[in-house]
Amino acid sequence: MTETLNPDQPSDASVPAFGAGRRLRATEPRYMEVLDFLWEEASVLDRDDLIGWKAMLDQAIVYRMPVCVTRKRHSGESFETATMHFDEDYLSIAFRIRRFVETQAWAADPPTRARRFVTGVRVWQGATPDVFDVTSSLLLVRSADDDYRTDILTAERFDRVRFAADGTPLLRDRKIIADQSTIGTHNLAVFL
Amino acid sequence: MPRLKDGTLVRDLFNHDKREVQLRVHHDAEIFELEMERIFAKSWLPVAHESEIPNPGDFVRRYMGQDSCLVVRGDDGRISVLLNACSHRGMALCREEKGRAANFKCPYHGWAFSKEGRFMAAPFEKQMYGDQLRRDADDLGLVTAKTGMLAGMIFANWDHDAESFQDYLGDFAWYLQAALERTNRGLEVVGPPQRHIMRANWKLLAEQLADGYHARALHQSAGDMGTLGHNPNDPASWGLIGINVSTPGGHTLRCIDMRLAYNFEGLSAESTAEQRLTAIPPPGANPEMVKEFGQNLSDGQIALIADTPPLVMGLFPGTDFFTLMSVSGSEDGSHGPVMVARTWIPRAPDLFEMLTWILVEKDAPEELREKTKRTTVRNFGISGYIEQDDAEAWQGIQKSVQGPIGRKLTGKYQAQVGIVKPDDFHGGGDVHAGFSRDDAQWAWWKRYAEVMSN
Repeated sequence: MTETLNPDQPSDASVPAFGAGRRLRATEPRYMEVLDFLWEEASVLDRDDLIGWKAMLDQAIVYRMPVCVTRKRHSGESFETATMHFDEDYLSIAFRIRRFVETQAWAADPPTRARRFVTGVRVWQGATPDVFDVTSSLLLVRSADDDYRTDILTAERFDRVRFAADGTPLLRDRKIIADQSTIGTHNLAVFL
Repeated sequence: MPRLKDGTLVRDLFNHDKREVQLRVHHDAEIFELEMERIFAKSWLPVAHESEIPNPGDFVRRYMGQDSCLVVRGDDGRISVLLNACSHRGMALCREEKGRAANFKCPYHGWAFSKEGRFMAAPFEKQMYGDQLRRDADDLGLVTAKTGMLAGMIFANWDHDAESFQDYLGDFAWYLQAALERTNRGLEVVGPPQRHIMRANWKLLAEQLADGYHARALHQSAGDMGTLGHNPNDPASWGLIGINVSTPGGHTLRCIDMRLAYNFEGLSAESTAEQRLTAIPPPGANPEMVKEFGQNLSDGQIALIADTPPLVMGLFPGTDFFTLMSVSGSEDGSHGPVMVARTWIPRAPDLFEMLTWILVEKDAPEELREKTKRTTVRNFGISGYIEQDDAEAWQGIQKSVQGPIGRKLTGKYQAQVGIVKPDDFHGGGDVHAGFSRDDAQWAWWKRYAEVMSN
């Protein structure tokens, strides 16, 4: 499995490319643990428990969402890592969360309601025994105020999940590749 | 003189004595259609940055109002802006958002056009048309727009009879050059723009550019987070003391008074503008670049960006440049600049699309480039925490105008400074120094009223 899964291939040749390791079968215990982690994460975010979500992040996290551009089939990648919708690390995510939780952030108070559906989870052994490369499909349905209309965002996510020494899984990195070129919601005051 | 179906004259939507505008302008489909014809089909609009299409044949597909256009670099390096619709039957010619092309061939019947929009050839041309297309070739080209450029941003206008780009910028060229064309190599964009939708009328963004007053309430969280309003009861710390400028053409800008907003500790009162700029470089620049400013800017322009730099620069009807000196976005306590160019595409009376480009100096060292990119994304654009709150106001007003009672309300712009121009201020236009009141915003509405009423 060496196809290009992650737009940011490590430049260090000693680090295997994303998804280059052994693919775990869906019956293996580690696969189950990763899957359970993603479901738990989605549930924590759906419940707007942002402090709880922060505790699931590795403090070295790189969290990014590149802009998507419509290209012809053979013209190259349809995402653009040069421009990001999100370009975050742990401390900038912590900043966003503190704004939502502790200040009068009109965009998130009252909060919008979102439901995350995570499916198509695939897991590969990562560069070290404690790290796993994970791809998943995300369907996020967002509802704001009393508007009957909902915003739908779909994306493929490229994650690295790291198991800490005590066995706790943490989100080490995430890259979100949205399917929309023009994002169909008024802001990204939600985490994907 | 346009009249709406209910008999209302469009000009009567504006009360110039009271400085009020009826909020139905944000709701009526009839008004929206008039705007498309009278404003977006005839105005200078930003379509791309030249750094997006560096090589011959490079193109991006964008919108001017509702019309799809191609922005193409020709073999001679010149840029053409073309209607993305085949002259044969109107098929959308190009179906990707960016790429490189030797020419543009319609997928429907195969008519081909050059990078400048000239009709080149059609399949089975002789059998189908004889020599008719050869005779008519000059008339079969793509619709072209005329173009202009500011800080590398390509502007286009479908109306070839419209005023020149320089005349359109008028007094604002001086300010925009000072803020955006200060270095030898100039600005580039980091990549294609972010795009997202907003369930609101486009004017709610456009007219808000000159509104400093909302910062205290709507951006309260930015104050709580230590980015704006370090002293919540001091208007200067909310960027509300400075100089607003407007033009009869509806351009607006807000300059903040640096001397009130920042601490120039260590610099004497007699320090030069260049010393002050070196101590606190303007957004996106570093002390090294400040040395080049003198080669590109006049003394008056340098004084402007040192003491009262433009913060929000709006061009009627569809452009703004936003340059913020120092905002936060991380719990590491660091601050950085925001550098964006934006445009908005009206989709319906209650829907527009926003495009946000991130600007960096071509000569920016990697660290400054990354810092500018990150701070900008964290504060502005779709995920930017400052702009998230603006979206609430735009969409909140749009909800109010859905009902027949709500849309009888008026927007009120009575707070006026008048024309107040400090002796040491070198800029042109209508200058309103002091507290950031409604003068410039009302100037925007006056221009809108003029274009829509006559």
